[in-house]
Amino acid sequence: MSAETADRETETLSMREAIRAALREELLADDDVFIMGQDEEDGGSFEVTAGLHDEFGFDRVRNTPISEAAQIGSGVGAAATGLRPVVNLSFADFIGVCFDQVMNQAGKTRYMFGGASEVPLTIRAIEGAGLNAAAQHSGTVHTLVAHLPGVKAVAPGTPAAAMGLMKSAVRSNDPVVFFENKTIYERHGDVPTGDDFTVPLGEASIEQAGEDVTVVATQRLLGESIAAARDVDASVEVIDPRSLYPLDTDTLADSLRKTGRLVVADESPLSYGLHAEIVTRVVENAFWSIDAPVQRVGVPDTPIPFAPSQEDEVVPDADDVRRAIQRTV
Amino acid sequence: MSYIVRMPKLGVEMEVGEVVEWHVSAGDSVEADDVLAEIESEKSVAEVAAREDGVLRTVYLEVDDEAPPGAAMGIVAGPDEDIADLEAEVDTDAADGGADTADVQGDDADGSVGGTDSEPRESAVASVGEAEEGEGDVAAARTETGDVKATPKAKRTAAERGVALETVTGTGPRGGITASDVESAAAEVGDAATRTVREERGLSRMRSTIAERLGQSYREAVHVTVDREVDVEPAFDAKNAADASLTDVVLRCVSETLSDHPEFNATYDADDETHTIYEEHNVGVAVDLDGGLVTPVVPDVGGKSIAEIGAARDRVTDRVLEGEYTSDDLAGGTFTVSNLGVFGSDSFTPVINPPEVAILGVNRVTERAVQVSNGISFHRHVTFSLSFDHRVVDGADAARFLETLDAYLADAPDLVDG
Repeated sequence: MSAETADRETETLSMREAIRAALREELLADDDVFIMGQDEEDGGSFEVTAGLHDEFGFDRVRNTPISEAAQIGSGVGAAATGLRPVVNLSFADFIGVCFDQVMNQAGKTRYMFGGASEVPLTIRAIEGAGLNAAAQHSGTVHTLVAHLPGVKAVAPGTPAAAMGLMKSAVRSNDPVVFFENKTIYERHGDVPTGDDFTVPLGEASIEQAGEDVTVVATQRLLGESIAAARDVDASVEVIDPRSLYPLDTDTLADSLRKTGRLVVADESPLSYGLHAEIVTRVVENAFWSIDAPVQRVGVPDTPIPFAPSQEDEVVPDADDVRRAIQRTV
Repeated sequence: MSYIVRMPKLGVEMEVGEVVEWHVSAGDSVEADDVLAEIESEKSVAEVAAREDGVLRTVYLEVDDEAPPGAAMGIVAGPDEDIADLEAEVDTDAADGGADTADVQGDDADGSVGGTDSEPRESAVASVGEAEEGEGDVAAARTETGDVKATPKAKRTAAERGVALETVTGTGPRGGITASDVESAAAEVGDAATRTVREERGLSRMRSTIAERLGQSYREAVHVTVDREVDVEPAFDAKNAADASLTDVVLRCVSETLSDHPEFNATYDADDETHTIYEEHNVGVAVDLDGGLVTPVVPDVGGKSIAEIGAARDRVTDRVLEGEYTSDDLAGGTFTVSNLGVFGSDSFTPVINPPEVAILGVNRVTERAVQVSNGISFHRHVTFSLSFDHRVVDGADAARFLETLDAYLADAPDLVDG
C-alpha cells in the first residue's frame, strides 16, 4: 500500500468512483469549479461523472458540442477569466484536434503574459487499448503532453492516486491533463476518506516494496506488474510514478540505488517516450548503481490494431513484465 | 543450455594456462559446480567448474596442453543437444587466434509486429534486448570490443573491494558481471588484505638523494657487517678526564685504527677497479634530521687533538642542524661513523656511504658483568657494527679492524692525554 493509505481511515472505491468522488468534492468545495464535455450531463462515455449533473445542474455540469477544439478552447478561456473548468476530452487520441489549445494556449499563457494570467484548467483524457475500439480510440498519448512545457500530466494507477491527484489537479493554478486508462475503471483499492486527502503533483508512490528489481509501472501496467512480481524468483519493488510531469526522479533513483535493476512498464509506444525519460533520469542520477541492462515494456511503434488478436499481440501484459524482470536477474 | 568451457583468466598478468588434469572425460555427465578440470597458470592453480548440468561433449585441450585465457577447453551441453553452433564458434576462435572471444550477437530491439516472421513469436510486445535472451551464453564476460562486460555497479564494487574484474565469472544477464559476482569473487579470495591509500607523499629532494645514493650503494657494494662488543669503561674514563664527548673519544680511536688499517680509509671505483687509499682521515658523522639523514665530514681527524675533533664536529653538526651547510660540508669523506646507539639500537647493518668502503655503526651503552681480578664488576659496553664492501676488503680484515679499535678504546686515556 502506498504511503497515503498507511495510517488513515480508508474506504474501498473503484477508479471510476474515486474520480467521481473527487470531482464531487471539488464541486461542493468551490463554486468556480464546473465540468463540461461530450455527454457529461449523462455521465460521459464511461459514466465517470454519472449523477453529477442531476446533483449540481446545468451551470456546473454541462454538455459540449463534439468539438475538442471548442471544448478545450472554451476551457482555457474560462480558466483564464477566473473559473476552474474540468473538461472531459473523452478519447485522448483526439487531443490532436485541440493540440493548439493545449500546447500554445493552456501551456504558454502564464509565461507569455509575464505571470499576469493563469490557466487553472483540468483536462480529463481517457486513453489505453484493450477494448477493441480501433486505433483512434485506443492510443496512449500521455508522452505527447508530458513533453509540453507549461502543462502538467498525471496518470494514476490506483483509486487513491486518482482521488488525490484529481483534487490536486482541480486546485492547481496551472493546466493539468489527467490521464485515465479506460480499462481499469473497475480497479478497486483503498482510498483515504476525508476532504483533506490529496496527492501532490510530482510524487511517486512505492506500491510494493522490494529489494532486487525496480519496476516503474503506470496505469493498467501497474496492476500487471504487481501480478508479474508474484511469478518471479526475486523481490520486486513496484513504483507508480503517478505524475508524469513533474516526475519524481528522487524516488525512482533511490529505488534503483537499492535494487540495481530497472524495468519500465508503460503502455505508450516505445520510441521517444516516457520509458526513455524515466530510464534517462535514473541513469543520470544513479549510474554507478546499475547492475543489469535496463528493460522497457511498452507498445511497439504501431497504431493499436482493430483486430482483437492483433490488439492482444501488441498490448503488453503481466507476462511481458515478468519476462522483462527475468532478463534483469 | 550449452556452453563453451573456456580457460579462465586467473589474474591480470596471466598469459597462458596449462591443463593439469581433467576430472571428467568426454561423454561423462556433469552437474553444475562439478569440477571439470584443473588448470595451472604462471602463478597459480585453479579448478574449472561446470556452470550447468550437462555432458562434457567435446574436449579441445588435453592434459599438458597450453592455451591463453578465453581459449576453448571443451563444450558442455545436453546429451542430445545440437552443438554445431558452438563448434563453429570454437573453429572461428581458432581462426581468429583464439583467446578472449567476443560476444557477437544481434541487437534486435525493434518493436515491430512479428506478422511475417516464419517462426511465431511469443509476443510482439517490444522490449529491448529480448532477442538476445537464450542465445548461447558466453563464458568470457567480454563485449565484442574486448572490454570486460561488467555492470556499472559491478565496476564500482570491484574498485571498492579491490577485485580485478578479469578474474570474475559473469552470471548476470547476457553473461555480464554483476555486483554480486564481484562480491562472490571477493569472498572467495577471503580476508585478503585491502590497501586503502591514505596519502601519497612525493620524496623531498633530500630524501630523493638519499634514496638514490643508498640504493646505488646497496645494489653495488657487497655489504657484510661484523659486530664486536667492546668494554668502554676506559673510553668513559678518557671522556671524563678530557671533558669531551664519548663520540669524540671514539673518533679519536677510529682514527688510530684507520692508521693501522688504511685499506678502510678509502674509496672504491668499480668501473676502474681502483681502490683509492687516502692520507687524511676525513670521517663523516651521520646526523639525523627531520626528513632525512646527512653525513657532514669532520676533516683530518688524525691531525687533531680530542678538543679539536670536538670543536670541528660541533661546528659541522651545528651547521647541519641549522640547515646552513653546503655540499662542501658533506664532501671528501674517507670513512663514516653512524651512531644509532643514542636511539637504543643493539646492533644494525649500516649502509656504506658511497664511494667509501666501510662504515662503523655505534650502538647503545649497556652494562655487563665481567670477571675482574677480585671478582665480578659491571662494565659499560658498546657493540660496534662495521659494514664493509666485500669486493674490496674481507671479513677477516673487518674483524681485525674491530680488534684494533677495541685495543685503542682500552688505551683511550693515554690516547686522549697524548
